[in-house]
Amino acid sequence: MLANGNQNLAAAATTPYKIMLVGDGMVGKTAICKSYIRKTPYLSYQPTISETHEITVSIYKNDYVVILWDTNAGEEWNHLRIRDYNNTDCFILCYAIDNPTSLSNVETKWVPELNQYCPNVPILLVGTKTDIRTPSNRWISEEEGDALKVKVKAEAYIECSSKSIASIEGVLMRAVSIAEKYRQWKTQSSSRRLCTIL
Amino acid sequence: MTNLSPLSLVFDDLMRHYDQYTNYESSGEFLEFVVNQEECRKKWNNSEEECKRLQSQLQTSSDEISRLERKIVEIRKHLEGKMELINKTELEKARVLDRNNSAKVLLKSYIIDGRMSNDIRERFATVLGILETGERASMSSMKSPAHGLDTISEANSTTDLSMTQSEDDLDLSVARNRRRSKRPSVPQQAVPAKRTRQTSNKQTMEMTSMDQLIAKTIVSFPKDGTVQAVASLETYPSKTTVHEHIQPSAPPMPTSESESDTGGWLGLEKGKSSPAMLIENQQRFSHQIPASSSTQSPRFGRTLSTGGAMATRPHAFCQKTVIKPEMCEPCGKRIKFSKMALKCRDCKATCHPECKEKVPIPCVSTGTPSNKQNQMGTIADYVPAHHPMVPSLIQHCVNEVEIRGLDTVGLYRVPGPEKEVKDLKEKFLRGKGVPNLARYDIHAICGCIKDFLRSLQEPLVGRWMWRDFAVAAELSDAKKRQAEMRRIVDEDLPAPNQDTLAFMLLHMQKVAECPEVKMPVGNLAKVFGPTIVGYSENDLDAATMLKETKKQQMVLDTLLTIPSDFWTKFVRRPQEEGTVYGSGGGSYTRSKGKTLHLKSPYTGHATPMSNKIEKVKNAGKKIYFSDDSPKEVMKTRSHKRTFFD
Repeated sequence: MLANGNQNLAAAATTPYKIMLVGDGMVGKTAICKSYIRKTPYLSYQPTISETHEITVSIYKNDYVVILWDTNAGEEWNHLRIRDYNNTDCFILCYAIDNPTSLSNVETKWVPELNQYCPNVPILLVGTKTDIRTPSNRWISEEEGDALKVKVKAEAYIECSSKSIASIEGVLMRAVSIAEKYRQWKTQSSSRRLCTIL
Repeated sequence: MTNLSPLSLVFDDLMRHYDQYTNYESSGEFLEFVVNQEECRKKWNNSEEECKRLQSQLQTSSDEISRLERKIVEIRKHLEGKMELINKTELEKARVLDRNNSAKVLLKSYIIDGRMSNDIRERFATVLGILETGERASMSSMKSPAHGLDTISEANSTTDLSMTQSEDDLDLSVARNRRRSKRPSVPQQAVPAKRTRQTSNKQTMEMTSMDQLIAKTIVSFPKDGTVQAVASLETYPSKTTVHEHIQPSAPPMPTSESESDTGGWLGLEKGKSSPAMLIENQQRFSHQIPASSSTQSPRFGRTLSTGGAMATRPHAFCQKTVIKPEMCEPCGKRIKFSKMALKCRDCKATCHPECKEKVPIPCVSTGTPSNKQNQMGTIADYVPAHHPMVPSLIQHCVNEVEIRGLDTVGLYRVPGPEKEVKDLKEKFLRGKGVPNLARYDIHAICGCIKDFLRSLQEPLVGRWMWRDFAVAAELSDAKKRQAEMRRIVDEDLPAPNQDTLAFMLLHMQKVAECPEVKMPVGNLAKVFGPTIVGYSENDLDAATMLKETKKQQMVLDTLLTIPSDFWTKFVRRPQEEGTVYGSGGGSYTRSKGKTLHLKSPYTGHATPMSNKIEKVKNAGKKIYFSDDSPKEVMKTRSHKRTFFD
């Protein structure tokens, strides 16, 4: 995958998309990253401080180079994380479907923080750990996620599990397409602004 | 002729043109053109009409759309309202369950209370049974059996001081289906036990200060499901007076004094002679050996709690009549006008006289919070004037975490609900006693500890010493590294920092030991790095910060690998000789040794410290507990009457 990316001139020409993973601790942000890179489920309990990964995502045979930022959720890292927010093209905001606190923190903590430091940057809301959902248990449902998407004005809502690589790929593809759209919108709006000044 | 010629020429010319025009066959084409034009006009007209029609259609459908949209919005609002209602009901439910629990606790305390007549106790016990079955039923209807504990029920199960729950039940999330029978009966498990299980609880309760009673119950769960219980009751008349208990006499314990200083902490017992002691001894060794077959509880196999390292300072309650309505902290209810209330002189805890026993111990005076609002002071502003100089917030939160949280995955890593964290911290810093921690999410309590330490003006490892620590952490030899750190901590840190740091590190070592939490030393060092060690300066650029982050981890890693004895000595520092505290539940005096001795009846409280029990034992008294959790305490208290449900 990585080798392909360099061959593709079109992708190399544009600056890579910067996509950031944010969300509460232990919801599985690192798992999304590492599972995608290694193509095997990643199961570990180590907290991340700050890591970046360069990956290639292909959509319809087009390869996009993406720099994926894996962040730490803790309050104590706020200052470090906020500095990394500049120029992000898309945020992947995660919550774990077995942790209602992480869901409520999306609304009370993360979205206000993102809106404060990066207004207009699109958010992809992701519900993680779907593999533990069974018909009988009462974890957070897809409908609740959808409702939250509307409430926080996220671009889209998607669910995934790091145990299924296909779902992780789905998340990243969605994120890249959102990031692409955002780039286009940004260039358009900036050129328009130029016209009005002139 | 010549005159005519130009005219005739003109005429000829005209005639020629005339012929040309008259003979030209264009009239037919023109007619065709006109007809075409006419048709065109008609078509045009038609399409204009069509256009108008379509426009009107468009209008109507767009009206329809907006109408439907409005409807959608309405429905959404409605839905939200419903969701809120559901949330509210759940909260209400939690509250009711909570109240239920406190009712149960109250009932139990009555049952245990020796002054009641048997008849009334019996009646209370039945009421308690009804309460519990009702709750169990509602719990099982609420969630499926395979499902773990969700937040609400988690809070319940932790506050549930049920006599029917054994340690194992709390950890197994299996359907609880047990038959109730009259006492003395044994808990029967519907789920077939996978292996032979034997839980033994022994304790000796002091009935009065003069004689004592040993209730010993051994319950075994073999494979085939037949449950066996052996219960025995023994009384030992006490031969000693109250004051002689300080020097242990019966049963003889020759090394008690030295143990209370050194071995007692590590749970190493030396000489034992009396039978009761031997039993106790076995139990204690099973603490040391995790693979011990006698117990399955995860709580065993751990070293003693950090809480154990603290002095068990009682509250100094004063009675007063309430004029301005105040809240009772343990039960959360209002103390009404002109009713009696107890207020602790030192920590300002306020409660109903009947809730006195539930006010968490130790009493930690709140220090002098800085006058400036919104601005936090240094650690010295929050510590009590006596040793151990650990802020009350930290002591109580850590106790709660050790009681409730040591099987929660990701302690200190998973953030708690932000509102709760802020609320809790504010309640603590307002300096009016201790809020009822059982109501808060465990992660919120962890978050509160972190938040408090982080918001201090100086991190625990002071900024002025940051470089010393960083240099020490970079030494290649592990032994040298530790020795250097010990030296810095010993010599350079002020006492409040030393005590609090030691207290936190002991707690973290304990958390790291629990495999269920999945937070080994490395993870804790990462998570606590910025909280405890902090940065060398306030404003740093990102690159330096990242570099310092790594150093923080190294520092904390080293601090955590220093054996716990080193830290214990800070937390168990001697207080001034002969200080007598309090008019609380029991009276405490200081022996020549370093520890406190409990003399009179055990004061039950929400967050007991195992070391209190330890110390009591060392002093030659006869209150033994097999574990340090509140459920256990409640259970043991009920064992006094061999009350099993």
